Amino acid sequence: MTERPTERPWWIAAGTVAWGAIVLAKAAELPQFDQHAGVGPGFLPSAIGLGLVLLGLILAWQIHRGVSFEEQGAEDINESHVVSYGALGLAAAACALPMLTMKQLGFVLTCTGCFVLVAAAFKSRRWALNAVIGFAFSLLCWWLFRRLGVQLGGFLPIAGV
Amino acid sequence: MIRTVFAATVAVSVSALAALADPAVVMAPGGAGGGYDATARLPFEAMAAEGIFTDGATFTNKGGAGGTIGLTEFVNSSRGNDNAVMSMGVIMVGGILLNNSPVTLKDVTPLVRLTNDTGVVAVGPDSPIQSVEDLVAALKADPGAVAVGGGSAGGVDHIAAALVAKEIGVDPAKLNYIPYDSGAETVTALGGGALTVAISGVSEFKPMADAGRIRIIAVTSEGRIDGIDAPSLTEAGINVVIGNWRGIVGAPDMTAEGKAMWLDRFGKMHDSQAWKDILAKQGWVDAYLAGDDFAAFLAEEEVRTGTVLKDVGLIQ
Amino acid sequence: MDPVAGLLHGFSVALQPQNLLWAFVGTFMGTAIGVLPGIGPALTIALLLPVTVYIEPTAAFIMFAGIFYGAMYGGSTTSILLNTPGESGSMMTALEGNKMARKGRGAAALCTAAIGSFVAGTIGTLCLTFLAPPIAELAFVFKPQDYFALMLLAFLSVSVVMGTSKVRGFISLFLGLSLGVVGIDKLTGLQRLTFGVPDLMDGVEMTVVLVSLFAVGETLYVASRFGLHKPNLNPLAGGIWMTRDDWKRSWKPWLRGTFFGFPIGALPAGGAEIPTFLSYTVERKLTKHPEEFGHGAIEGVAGPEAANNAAAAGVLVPLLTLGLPTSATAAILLAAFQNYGLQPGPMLFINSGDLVWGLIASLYVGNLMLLVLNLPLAGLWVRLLFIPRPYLYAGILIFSLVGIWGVSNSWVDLAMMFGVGLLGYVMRVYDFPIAPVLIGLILGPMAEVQLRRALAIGQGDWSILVSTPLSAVLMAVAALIVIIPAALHWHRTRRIEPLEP
Repeated sequence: MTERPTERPWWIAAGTVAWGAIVLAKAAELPQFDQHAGVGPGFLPSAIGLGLVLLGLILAWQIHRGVSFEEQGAEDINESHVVSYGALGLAAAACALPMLTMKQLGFVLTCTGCFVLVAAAFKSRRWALNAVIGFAFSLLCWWLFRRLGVQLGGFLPIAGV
Repeated sequence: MIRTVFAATVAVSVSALAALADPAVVMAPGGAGGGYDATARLPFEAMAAEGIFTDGATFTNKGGAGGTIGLTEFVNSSRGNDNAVMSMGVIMVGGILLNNSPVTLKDVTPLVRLTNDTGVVAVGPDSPIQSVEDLVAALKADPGAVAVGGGSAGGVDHIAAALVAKEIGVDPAKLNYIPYDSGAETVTALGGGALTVAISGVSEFKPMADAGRIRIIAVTSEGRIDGIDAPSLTEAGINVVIGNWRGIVGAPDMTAEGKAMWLDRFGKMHDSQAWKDILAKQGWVDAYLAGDDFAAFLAEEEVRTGTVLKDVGLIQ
Repeated sequence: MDPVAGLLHGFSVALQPQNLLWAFVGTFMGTAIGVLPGIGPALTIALLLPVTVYIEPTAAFIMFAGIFYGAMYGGSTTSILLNTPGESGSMMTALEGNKMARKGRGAAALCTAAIGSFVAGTIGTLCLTFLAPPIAELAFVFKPQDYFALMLLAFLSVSVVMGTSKVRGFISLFLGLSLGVVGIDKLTGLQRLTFGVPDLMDGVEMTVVLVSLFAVGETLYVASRFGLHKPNLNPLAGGIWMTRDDWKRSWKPWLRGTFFGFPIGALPAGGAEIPTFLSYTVERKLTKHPEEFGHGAIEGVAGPEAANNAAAAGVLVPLLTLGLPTSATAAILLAAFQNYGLQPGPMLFINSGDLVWGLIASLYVGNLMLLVLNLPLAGLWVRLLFIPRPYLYAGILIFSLVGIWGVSNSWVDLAMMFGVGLLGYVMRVYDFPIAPVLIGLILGPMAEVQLRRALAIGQGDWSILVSTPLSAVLMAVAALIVIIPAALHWHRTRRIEPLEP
C-alpha cells in the first residue's frame, strides 16, 4: 500500500448537501402535519433532507481537517490501487448502454454490447471472440428466460420482431 | 413506403408461420398473479378451451400507480389495433384521477365488464359496534375515534367509506381512514383490535368471518349476498352501492368491426361452461355488462369517483 | 387428523421414488435459478410455477417445496462468492460471506449457509407442523406500535455496519431513507419526490438499488483497479469443509437466527429482512471474535442465513392456517394453491388434509434434498471463481439486466441502474458503507407507515407508541442498546481526550 497525498473530495460533501437541499425543497411542498396522525406526509422527508444537509456540512468540515479516505477492499484488485480510468470508462459505458439501446435494439444485442465492453474493461482484447461468446450467452439467457415467462421484449424491437 | 412494405412482409411471414392466426395483444396493467393479470388471462383461457378464439394471445404485464402506467403504455402502443385489449377496473378509474394521469379511459374503447367483488364492512369479534346503526352513531359522535381500515388511499374501499360518511352527514374529509397494503394486514389488524372497522372485498374477508375472527355487519351490494348473514347498506338505510368490478377495454380508435368482433367473442365466452368454471374457481361474481351499457356505467363511475375524491380532499 | 398421523401419511406419499425425483428436480431448478444475481426467490418461484402445471397435484406440491427452499438458498451463493446478493434477505450474508470467500474460505461459508438453511428450515417446518396455530395468533397480537418498536430495534443493526466513519455511515443511511420516501405516500396518496416521473410513483424498486449498488458497483470498481496478473489467491485455499472450530462457532448462530426468523416471518408485516438484520447485530455483539467481524466472521454468515430461511418457513404459517399471503412469495404460492382448487385458510387442514400434510412432509424432504445436493456442490460453486474475470463480470452484468429489465421493462430502472451503479463505485472508493443504504431504503418506509398508522389510531397521542406491553419492552431494549454503549464510550473518552485524525 503506497502513501497517497491527502485527497480532499469536496464534491462529495457538496453533493450530499445538494441532494439534502433538493429533498428539503420537495418536502416543503407537502403538508407536514396530518389531522389525525399529527405526523404528515412531508414530515419525514423534511427531517431526512435536513439530516443530509447537516451530515454534508459535517463531512465538509472533516475533509477540511484532512480526514483520510481508505478505499474498500475487493477481490482481484491490484495491490497498489492504481486506477485505470480507461477501464472504468469502458465498464461505465457498459452500464450506460442498456438505457440507450434496450428499447430499440432489444435485450440480446444490448447485452452483447455490454458483454464486449465489460470484457474489454477487464483487459480482454479478443473483440471478435468476445462478441461471439457475448451474443451466444445473451441469446441463451433471452431464450431461456422468455420461455420461463420473464418479459425481456422482442429480439429486435425496432424492426418489430 | 419501404417500411410499410417491410412491415407487411414481416406481418405476412409471421402470420404464415402461425397458420394465418391473428393473435390478440393483451395488456395487464398489474403484476403477475394480481387481479388485473387474472382478468386479462383467464377469459382467453376460457375462449381457447371453448374454441371461441384459438389464435392465441401475447400478454404484457405493466403494473404501477393504480394501473395508469400500463394504461399509458397501452394507449401509446396500440392505437387502432383491433387485436389489442386491456384488463382494467374500478381501481384504475380512481388511479387516473389521483395520479392526474394525462391518459384517461376516454382514450380507450370500453368493451365489457366481467366480474365484481362486493365490498363488506366488518368489525372485530368483541367490538361494541354490532350493527350499521351503531357504526353510524359512532361516526357521528366523533369520526376521528373510528379508525377505518381498508385498501390504498383513494381506492375502492376508501371511496366506499367516504360515500357512507357523506350519506350519513359526516364530512368525508374528517374520516380517520388508514390504508393497508394487503387484505392480510387489514384483516389481522381488525381481528386484533387495532382498527375499529374495516372495508374490503368479500373474497378477502369471508374466510376470516367464517372462522369467527371478524364479524361482517354489512355488504355494499344492492341486496344481500348468499352465505353472509348481514344486510346490504341500502337495506340498513344508507344509499351506497359499490363494488370492485373489473372488465376489458379495447385499443384507442378501435374500428366498429373490431369492437363487434370482441363483443361477439366475450358474449360467447360469457355463456360458456369454461367461464362459469373459472368464475367458481376464482370466487368471482359474474357482473357481465357489454358495449354501450358498460360505457355508460363507466362514465357514471368516473363522475362519482371524481366527486368523492374531491370530498375526501385527495384531489382538487 | 392429528399432526403425527398426518405427517406419517404425508411421508408415505413424499418418499415414493418418483416423488423423490420431483423433489430433486425442484430443488435443483430452484437453486440454479435462485443463484443468478438479481433473481430472488419470489421471481424464481413465479418463473417455475408454470412448470408444475404439467404434473399431478401431489408431485407438483413436492416440487414446490424443493423450489421454495432451493430458491431461498440459491441467493446466498452469489452473495458469498461474488458479493452480489440478488435479494434483500441475503444482503447481510454477503457482508461476512464475501470476506470469507476472499480469504479462500468460500466453501466453508457456503457450507455453513447450507447447513444453517437446513437447520432453520427443519426447525421452521417442525414449528409449522406442531405450533402453527399459536404462532399464527401473533399476527393478531402485533399492533402498529409493536411493529414500529420492532423496526426501531432492527434499525440498530445500522450501527454495527457503519464502517470506520460514523459520519459516512449516517450519510449512507440517510441516502437510503431519502430513496425510501420516493413514491406515492401510502397514507395520503400524495406524490413525494417523484419529480413527475410516473415510473417512480410506486417508489424506488428495492431490487434495482440492491443489484446496482452491489453487482454493478462492484463491476465498475474491480474493472478500474483490475491487475493483469493472475490473482494468486486459490479460492479453495481454506479447504472445502468446515473445520471443528467452524462448527463450534456456527451452531448457536443457526439456532438464534431461526429463533428470530420464524416468528417474524410469520407476521403479516414482518418479512425476511428484519430477522437477518437482527441476527447479524446479535451475532456481532455476542461473538468471542469481534475482531473478525468485517473481515469474514463465520457467525455473520451462519446467523443471517438461518434467519432468512426460517423467515421463509414462517411465511407458510399464516398462509396455511389463515389463508393470508404475507409476502410476494406467499402470494404466488396462494395463486398456485388456487390453481388446484384449494383455498388456504382455516378450513384447509380439514378439507384437504391429505394434500397439506403431503406438502409439509415434502418440505422436510425438500430441505434434506437441498442439503444433500448443496454440500457436495459447495466445492463446485466455488469453482465459479475460476472463470476468467472478463467473462465472470460480463455474465454478472447480463444476469443483473435480466432481473432489472425483465421485472419492470422500465427505462427509468435502467437509468437508475447506471446512476446507482456509479454511486456504488464512488462509495467503494471513498469508503462509504453500502449496507446502510439498503437498511434505510427497506426499513424507512416500513417504520414510517407503522408510526403514522399507530399515531392515526391514537389520534396524535405519542404515548400510544409504548401503550402495549410488547412495544414498551421492545422500545426499552432498543433504548438500552443505544444508551449503554454510548454512556460507556462517553465515560471512557472523558478521561482520555481523543485526538481527531
